[in-house]
Amino acid sequence: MTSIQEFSVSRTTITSRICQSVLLICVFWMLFIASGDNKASQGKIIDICIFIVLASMWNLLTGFSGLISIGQQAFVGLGAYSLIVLANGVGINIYLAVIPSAIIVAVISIPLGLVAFRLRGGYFAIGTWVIAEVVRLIVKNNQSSVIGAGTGTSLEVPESLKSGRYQVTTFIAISVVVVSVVFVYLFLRSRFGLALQSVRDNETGARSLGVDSYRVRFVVYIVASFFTSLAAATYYIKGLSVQPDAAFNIGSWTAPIIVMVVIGGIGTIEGPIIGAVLYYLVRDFVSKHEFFSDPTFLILTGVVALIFALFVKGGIWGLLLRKFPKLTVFPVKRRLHIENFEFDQRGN
Amino acid sequence: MNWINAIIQGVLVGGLYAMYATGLSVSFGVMRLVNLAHGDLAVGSAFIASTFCLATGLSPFLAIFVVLPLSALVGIGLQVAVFNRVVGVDPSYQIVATFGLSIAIQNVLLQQYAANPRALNIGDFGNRSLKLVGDDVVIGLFPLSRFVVAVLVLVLLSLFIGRTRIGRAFRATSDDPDIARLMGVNIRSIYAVAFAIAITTVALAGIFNGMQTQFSAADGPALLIYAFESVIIGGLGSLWGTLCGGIILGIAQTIGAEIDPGWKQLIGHLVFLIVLLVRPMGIFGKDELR
Repeated sequence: MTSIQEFSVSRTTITSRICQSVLLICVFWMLFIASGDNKASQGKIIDICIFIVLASMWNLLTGFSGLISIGQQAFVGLGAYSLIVLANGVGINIYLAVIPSAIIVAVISIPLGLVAFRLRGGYFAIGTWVIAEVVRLIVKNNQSSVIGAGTGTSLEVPESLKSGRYQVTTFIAISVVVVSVVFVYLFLRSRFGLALQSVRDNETGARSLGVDSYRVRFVVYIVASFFTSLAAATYYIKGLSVQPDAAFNIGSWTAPIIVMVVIGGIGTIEGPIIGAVLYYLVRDFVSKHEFFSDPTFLILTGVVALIFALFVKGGIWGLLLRKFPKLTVFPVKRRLHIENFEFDQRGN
Repeated sequence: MNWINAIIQGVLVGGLYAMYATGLSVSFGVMRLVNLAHGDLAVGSAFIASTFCLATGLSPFLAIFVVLPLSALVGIGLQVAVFNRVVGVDPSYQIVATFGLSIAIQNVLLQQYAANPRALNIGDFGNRSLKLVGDDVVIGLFPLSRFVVAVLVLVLLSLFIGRTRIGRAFRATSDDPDIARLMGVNIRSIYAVAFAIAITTVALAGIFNGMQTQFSAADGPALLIYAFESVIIGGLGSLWGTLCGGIILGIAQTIGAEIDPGWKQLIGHLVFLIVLLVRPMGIFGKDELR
């Protein structure tokens, strides 16, 4: 007879500690490049960091909360234009304007969410797209000199900030990615995260246990729009020029984001990171080869997304987990250890 | 008089939107499927019709009889290869799969036909119009006949769903696929028929659109949005609601364009959002949205 006195519950494992240390080394390596002078590498780091944040946030919405959004470009564009208004219009320092512009977008996302949340499931998805279109058209029809209507405008960088812009932007991008990923990790480990995942897995069940599913999802919607626009504002400190049709473009923002998450593994913290890095590397490789014209690359992206959604639902991370079941970088599940046995939450 | 003309144009365009929306409504009603490639299928059909006309020199009206059976076949193929696998699973995979399909179709069209817009030339018929109240109120003959065809399609479809054996199986599957299967309904063939209907109606709408306005490879998403808005404004599960939804959207757009050309789409979207806020089940819908 086994007495169950000698047991313990833990989340972190040896593998997770090792993987987290490796990631930490990567962060330090990126910081090292950020402090250097290589603008090309810094630009790449900024792009990768931005896309990791965007992918993680879409995954938080869709993979963890069941809120399928194809309107993330709304928050990218709003982040860009809030930055423009604060920096060019009000005259705030471009770097200091990043966080306030994300806060503004988070506030704007509340009324947008009230509309979007009238719809469910697949129709919620198209609803978010319509909302993004509405925001784009309103911006495009705004003739004020700060917004610049359809032709767009550029972020004005004061002479004093011109040197070292890439370095500072890279530092901001690295901070944004670290804060977002750590936030998602801690968020999902919290009570709130548990409520969130219970709503995704069985809404009726979760509600019967006292979870306010509407409120939980709404909070996630606001959080995701905050971080999405934070990443967007950072991106535009590098890119500088903003046009409504580009900033609110579903094809250049939401489409790659979705592909990244699906390839990496939807509903995991690790998946979007893997997907974003992989997508970026492939796109970087492909852009150097004539054979892959823009349409060819996009056809392949579409087909890959389709194939993963039909046949490889867990993505690359899912395939890895099948091979190495104990693999984990950001452990959200609890593991039960009893003397010589070890269980995780699924009872394996 | 401009306003009356705008409203008449809106009503006639609304018929076209309803035809786009029918397929979306049917595939959601029967399969709970939201197909993001819906608009791209319409644009694709218009391109195929245009290729056919250029190759044979025949009228686009004859192309309809070639393209529609072809698209029904493509629809059944897509249903077997793609959509059967995403029916009933987590909707996020449905959205991702059909979104991927949409991107792929758009870019195949872009690669094949370049970014240049095309049109289907219906000759003199496109220019004829009826003049009412002196010469002030003008109704284009082609938009009018297109509207009539749209209403006819809806009448036939509602008779099909309401009066036939397959239609009864449609309704049963829509209510509860598991029970329908127990009662001997072959769900997969019902899905195939439903999707064939969805794609033929949207293909017809795509060709009709191409007969009046230019179209290009990137038009699909906008058409999807118009179809979706018509369905939601009218209310899910009501074909006549969808027709009214399309007409309301059409009128909103033409009135918007009358105020300022840049506002055409914006006013349409805003009317949709207002309906969503005030009456989320749509004007003719009975249930809350699912």
